Amino acid sequence: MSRFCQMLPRPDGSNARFFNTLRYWHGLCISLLCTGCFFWPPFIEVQPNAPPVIEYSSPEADDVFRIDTRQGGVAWVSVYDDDEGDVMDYLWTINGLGPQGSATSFVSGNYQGSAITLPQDPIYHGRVLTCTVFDTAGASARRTWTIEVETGA
Amino acid sequence: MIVWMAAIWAGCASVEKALDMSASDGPGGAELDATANQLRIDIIPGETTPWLDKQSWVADPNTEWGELEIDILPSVRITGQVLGYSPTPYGAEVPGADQTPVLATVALVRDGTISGASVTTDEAGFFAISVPPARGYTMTIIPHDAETLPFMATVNADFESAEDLGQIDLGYGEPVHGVVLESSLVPVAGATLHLVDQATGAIGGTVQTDDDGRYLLRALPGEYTIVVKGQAGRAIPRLARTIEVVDGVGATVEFNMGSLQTASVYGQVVDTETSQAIRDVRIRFSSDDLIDGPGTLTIETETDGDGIFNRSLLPGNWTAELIPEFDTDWAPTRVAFTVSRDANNLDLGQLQLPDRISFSSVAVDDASTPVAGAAVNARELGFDGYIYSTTTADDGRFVLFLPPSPVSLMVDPPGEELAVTNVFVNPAGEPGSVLVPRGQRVEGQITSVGAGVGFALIEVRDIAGTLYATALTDPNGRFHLRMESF
Repeated sequence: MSRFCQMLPRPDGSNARFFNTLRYWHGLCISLLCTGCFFWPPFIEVQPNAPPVIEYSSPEADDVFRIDTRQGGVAWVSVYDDDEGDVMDYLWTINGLGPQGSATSFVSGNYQGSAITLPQDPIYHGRVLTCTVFDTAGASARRTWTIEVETGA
Repeated sequence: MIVWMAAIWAGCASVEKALDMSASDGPGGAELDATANQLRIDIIPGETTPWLDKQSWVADPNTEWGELEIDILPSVRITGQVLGYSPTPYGAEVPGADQTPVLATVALVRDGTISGASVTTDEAGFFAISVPPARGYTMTIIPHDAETLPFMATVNADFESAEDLGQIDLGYGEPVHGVVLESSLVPVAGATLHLVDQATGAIGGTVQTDDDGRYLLRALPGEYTIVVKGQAGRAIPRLARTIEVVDGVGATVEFNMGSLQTASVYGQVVDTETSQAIRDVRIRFSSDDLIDGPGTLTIETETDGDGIFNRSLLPGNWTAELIPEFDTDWAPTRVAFTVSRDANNLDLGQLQLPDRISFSSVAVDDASTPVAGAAVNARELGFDGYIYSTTTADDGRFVLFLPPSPVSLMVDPPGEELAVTNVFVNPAGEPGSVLVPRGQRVEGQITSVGAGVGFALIEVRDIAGTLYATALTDPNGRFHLRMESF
């Protein structure tokens, strides 16, 4: 056992963690072999998580979100994520007002995203709307817009 | 698998619409018809077509939903100048003879759609407003000074190309004046009043009563609703009355608000299980009926850091909606109570907020196959209409933490085979599955000046604004979705 371990490359530099993992894995496998348990656990390479990307939105990133009709205004984002099956969570917040509860999520073909409708209320004027998208692993992307409300007299 | 129908309220909220349709001519689709059960497609272009504005396309009874060709056009620019008459230099409350530029909000709205915009005139009264070309706009001009200038509303205005409206003269209008009294005797200062044009629904600017309870508005001859209410947070009920503004005469309206003697209503909002005080809970008091006067009143407050609230309310029967912040684990609830005529204060004690409950279900198609990757949106009925969202897992299952009261559930499946499904469910009821039918295919292309409008959000709604389906156009402007039969 100790001789086998000595045959392995010594941990050094940036490869130290990999070689340590490999040594423990071999050690575990041989221990199991010696105790009569003929199980050779698979060596699983973990793919790094790809963060979500906000591909498109309305308004454009860092633009003004103008609410100028009685029907209110709609802002939306569409999201791309390399990891198949990753589920997105969308958090829409307005500074000073906290998380907003009027957003819906959607899927459309290969696209997924979220849209929020805000009423024509002066309380939103001058504030910043932010959409943050989280994937299953907690990686995120965000876009922000400054809100302008045309309220009239 | 147990197909859960018991907890589905009233079955599917299917959209009962006529289907055999053919595309309409003209920008903006069909003419709006208040008596027809029309559907509209809202188009919100994205960053790839920043020269296009949000707009609605209205379907008519002949629309072919299987192959929609919707051509949207860049917005047209409508310009003009708003003029009116200033008060005399001596400050008298009558209009003078000098025509001057007016500071006003100019709005062009195609009612029942998202097409339209509004702007404020500049110092010289000029405005420039860009709207999608369409027929049937309502144009309103609301001066910011409602005491000296009337407001104006024009219906059925067609704007299919750029247009200069020239000088728009609001005229003198006629005086609408009166007094607001408490108990027929005491003037009410600081009450706000505004007019609503009955023909168009346009809402004029607001004025406040002075120390003598008097007010002055100006309006063009016609039929209006005059509305009086308190400023935010004041215990003055909302009263509305229909009036006719007569040419050369105007109108005089006196409001008697009854007794405005209030009682202090207070309490504390706590967690049901732990009795922990809950801060920042919005409390919306709505009067069911007021004992000493007419009208209705809705008034809001919030709990402080100790979960305590205190608000002055008029005698009457009230309902309080307790609405926690969206990102908490609590659910909203309602409390009914009465403020008696003789009470100086009323202690509501500890009001308990229930926890949201775990609602687990599974989305299946009509062959009981799980529907994976579907967006699920549950909207509260009442309160603030919060929406809770998630996505179904590979086995079609989803879990949401919802209030223990009925919600409207929208399941938006991926792919092209299944329909966006809307059902009502009671999270506190029996769990089961949500059936996602195949439904009716809707597909088409959004174009502008011959090119596809890529990456635009499509929302299918009825004229009342209820959302039925959402899609995103592909790079060529094409979209497809399925809806329940409509």
